[in-house]
Amino acid sequence: MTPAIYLQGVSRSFGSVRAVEGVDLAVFPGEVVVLVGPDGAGKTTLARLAAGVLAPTAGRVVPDPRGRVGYLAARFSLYPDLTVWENLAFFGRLYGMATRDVEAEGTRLLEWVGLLPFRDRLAGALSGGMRQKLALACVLLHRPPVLVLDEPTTGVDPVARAEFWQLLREEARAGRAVLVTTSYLDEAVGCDRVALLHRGRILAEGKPEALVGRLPYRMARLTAAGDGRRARGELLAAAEKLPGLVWTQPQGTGVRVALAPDAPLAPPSGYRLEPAAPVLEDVYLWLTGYGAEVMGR
Amino acid sequence: MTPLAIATRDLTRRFGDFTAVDRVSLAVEAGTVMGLLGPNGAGKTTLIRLLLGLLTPTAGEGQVLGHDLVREPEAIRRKCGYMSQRFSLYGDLTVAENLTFFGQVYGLTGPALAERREELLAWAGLGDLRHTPAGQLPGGLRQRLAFACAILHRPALLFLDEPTAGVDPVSRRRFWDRIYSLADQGTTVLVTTHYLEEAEYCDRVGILLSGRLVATGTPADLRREYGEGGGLDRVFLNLAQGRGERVPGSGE
Repeated sequence: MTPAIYLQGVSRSFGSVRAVEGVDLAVFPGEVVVLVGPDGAGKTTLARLAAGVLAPTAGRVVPDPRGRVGYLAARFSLYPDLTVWENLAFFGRLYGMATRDVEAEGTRLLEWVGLLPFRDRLAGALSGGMRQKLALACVLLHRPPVLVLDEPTTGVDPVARAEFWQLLREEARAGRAVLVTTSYLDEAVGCDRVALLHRGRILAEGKPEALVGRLPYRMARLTAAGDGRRARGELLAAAEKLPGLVWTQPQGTGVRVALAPDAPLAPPSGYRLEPAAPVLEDVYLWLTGYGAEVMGR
Repeated sequence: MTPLAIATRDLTRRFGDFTAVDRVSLAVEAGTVMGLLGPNGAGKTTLIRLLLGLLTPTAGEGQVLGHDLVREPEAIRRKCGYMSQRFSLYGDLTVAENLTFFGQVYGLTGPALAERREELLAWAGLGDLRHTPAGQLPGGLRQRLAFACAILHRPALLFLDEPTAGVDPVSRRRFWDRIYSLADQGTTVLVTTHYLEEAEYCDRVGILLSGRLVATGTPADLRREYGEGGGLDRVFLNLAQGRGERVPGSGE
């Protein structure tokens, strides 16, 4: 199958700042690919390159994304003093669509995102989650084969976020190629593929469960035994003595630890050490050398 | 027994026909990092405004740091700090000037202010950047400065709104180390967040839906009781759906 969007060795600098460096990434029709990274990792630059609104300094994007991509920018603005429907109609005209097509496709999209009852409401009076759904409808109006969405769920609450991701999966099932950026690692779990972005480079890429499977550590959680509570300092000191320790991460009433894969789960007396399911955040920590950087190992 | 930093009984606030906070009974021990989760419009902001004495409850009662919400709001506010995700620093003032400004707002002056400012510059690792305008700091450092500004007056209760959303894992670890060090010295911290990974860092978490506090417990307790083997996101969605909550968009 041919990728719907293919970034080949793409780099982009702004003056002396290298925002994106040597990125290879393909998105195929029918899949949702999530690009995850903290603020400043290069997500927005990469999204703009994939959408064809920014030219790379090196490498290329094929096929030419211009005219084929529905691009939802991180600071996408709707017109707050226009209604939901007027916003859609405005985008329809921008794309040069016939009124009849806007009417048909716009109605279908509003129904799909659940905004048909709010057709005549001012966009400025919508909640954050509803605004993002309207924005999605606007960029889908001209039926682009590729969707590039830059942090569409930032500031959107978990319920609305789950609904939004469901919409994106439906779009992919209909044959579109979908590239989404986010800083929430937990959002990548249900997608087809995830790429971890760090300081402008892709650290790793693959199915979320495959990436988690690559983690060369055993994850566990150390807590006080029984109903007891321990001061965080005590918990950390006990964790430091665990055989095979790679890193500690205090979390609430316990400490999450990464251990060597063959290390025994041997808690000191008075403590409980339970296996914990590895998550994408652990993979990210591993690949960015978290143990070395925070623990001085 | 550890004293309670927050104790409310059936705290309720209505706006006309709309009940924003509905019979919330909340007990938070001093030195706890408490997370408050809820969709937009669930009443998180209204609850915080009630706890700060900025809004009068329609019914119910409560004490914060031993002071009555209705009769002693000034005493409460003097002892509280607040950091919002879109924190308001002055971009064209330097790092040190921002600390001085907020110190003066909190009534610190002279040598006491200078001493506290230096202490926090060192604590936040911002000493070398004291003459840099706050507007030129990268996100992570700006966040640290905002945090330092929020704790200048040594608040006993600190409100943090999504304190580490979007921050890289290493910076997040360092940020939480600072939050925990305050909690270990007895500061009570109330974190509101949409970010379920962030909620895992809290000692206890309360879930607010349509103004009601529907569950509280440690993250592990909540996962066991409502998570069906999933994480806090599963807990949250199960509770939201269990209440027949179809939040169109998010309903703020």
